[in-house]
Amino acid sequence: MMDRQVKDTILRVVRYIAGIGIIFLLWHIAAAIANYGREVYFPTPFSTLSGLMDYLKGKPLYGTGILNHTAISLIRWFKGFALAALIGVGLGIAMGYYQFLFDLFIPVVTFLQIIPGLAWVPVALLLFGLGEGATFFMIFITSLPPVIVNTAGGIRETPPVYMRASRMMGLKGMETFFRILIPASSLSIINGLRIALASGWRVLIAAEMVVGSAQGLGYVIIQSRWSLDFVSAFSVIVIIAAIGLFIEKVLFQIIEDKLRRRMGFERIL
Amino acid sequence: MISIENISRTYRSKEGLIRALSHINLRVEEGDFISLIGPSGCGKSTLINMIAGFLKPSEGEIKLKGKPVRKPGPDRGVVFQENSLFPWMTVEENLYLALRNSNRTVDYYLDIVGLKGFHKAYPHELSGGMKQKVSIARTLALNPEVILMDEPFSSLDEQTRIQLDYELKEIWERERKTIIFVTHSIEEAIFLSTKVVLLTKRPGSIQREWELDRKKRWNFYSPEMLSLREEMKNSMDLCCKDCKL
Ligand SMILES: Nc1ncnc2c1ncn2[C@@H]1O[C@H](COP(=O)(O)OP(=O)(O)OP(=O)(O)O)[C@@H](O)[C@H]1O
Ligand SMILES: [Mg+2]
Repeated sequence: MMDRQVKDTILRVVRYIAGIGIIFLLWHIAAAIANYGREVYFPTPFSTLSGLMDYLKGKPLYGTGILNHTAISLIRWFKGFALAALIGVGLGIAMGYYQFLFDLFIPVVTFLQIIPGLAWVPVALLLFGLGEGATFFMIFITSLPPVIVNTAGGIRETPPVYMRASRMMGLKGMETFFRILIPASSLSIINGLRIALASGWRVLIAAEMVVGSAQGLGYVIIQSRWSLDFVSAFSVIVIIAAIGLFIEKVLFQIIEDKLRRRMGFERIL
Repeated sequence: MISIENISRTYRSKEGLIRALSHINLRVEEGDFISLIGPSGCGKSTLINMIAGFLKPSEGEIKLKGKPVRKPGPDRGVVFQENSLFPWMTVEENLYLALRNSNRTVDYYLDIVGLKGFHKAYPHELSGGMKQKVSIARTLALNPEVILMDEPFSSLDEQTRIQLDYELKEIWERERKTIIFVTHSIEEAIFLSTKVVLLTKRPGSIQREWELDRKKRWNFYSPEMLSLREEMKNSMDLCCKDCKL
């Protein structure tokens, strides 16, 4: 039993690595074609990785090290996401429980959801001017809707029999929320946070490219365009992809697997 | 102890008003085991849910020890048809929720249903029959005035169901509980009950009641069980020929 699980996991990891191999292969082919008789160098996987190594070892990149740029982006991202998660889960729970709040707020949420992240640039600039405030706002505003929608959905879809059992036992107010409704919708909430984190990450990079922040991964990409130093841009893209994959496939997968097991859902799958 | 006074219930649906129950009068005394039987859709669940307080009657009133029922509460324990244990809690944690206002232990109630040692198990690690037993233990732990059971064993196979019928009867006798029980199985109703109540097809009203000897030990396949079963079945066919139980 255990053996089979281990074997399955190994097999999955191998396939995953092979999948990443395909990306590098396609990239290499594209680079080879692009570089055929052209002035500007299109970085190959190898030159990118060796460039990335140099940067990781401390070679400066537009004012500071690549790790610093990464850390700054991560912090920005996390700040916007954290506020969206806090407000989104809170509001989502309230909207899921009270029909009138749902009716009241769902048009706003849908409206926010429809607008692509980058469309917020003018709004962000008008509200906060160039700088931190604007990126923070853009991450927040794009992460918020998925958290609300999934949280409210999870609460609303809680099987009625759980609520009945809870009322039958005389659970009241906050107890109902913390012991019944929130656990019952935890998978849905986690899913919302996951989507929020991913869309926040995307808009962060874009925001850093546009709303002027003298540091961060997006900033590096846009700077490299002026200096035609595309190896640095590609290095940053590799980092962005790696972080995104890590969050999505490792961090959230672990949380979700744990939850599924705890909630007794793994039997269903 | 429970008096159901001239209860009717109408549902509003897309097809218009549906009258599910019509003028039900029923008294339940302490220690009774009442079974409700009747054709599918005649309003058995509706009645149980109104006693539990999940639904309000359109007309009439339900009183528990003289006090009108308004909302659900621990004085009316419910064993649901589907699994209603919280899957994110162990058996023990599930029982604790019901035990909050009691000084009895989880052990005590697990022992009653014969599941000692399953404290740390999660519901999904239990069989269907065991889940229903934990559900019964949880309801007992509330120490309710009355236990309401809406087809609690209908998703189990015949053998397990009969096994649980025996255990339930024993628990009912030992703990001196009052139970209202809905079932599709006439034998099960006869085996368990002190009184069997037959409802007519929709809108459900009481067609006939059978008082049974509460001391009697029924055997599931004995001739007297079969003949009483036949009598009840015929009685039901009187009100509708092709009604399915
Ligand atoms: N929420 C509802 N809205 C509209 N009609 C309903 C609703 N719930 C029940 N009904 C109707 O009321 C009638 C009684 O339903 P109920 O569930 O009480 O029947 P039942 O006797 O428990 O049936 P079964 O034996 O199949 O469980 C049914 O005919 C059904 O169509
Ligand atoms: Mg029913």
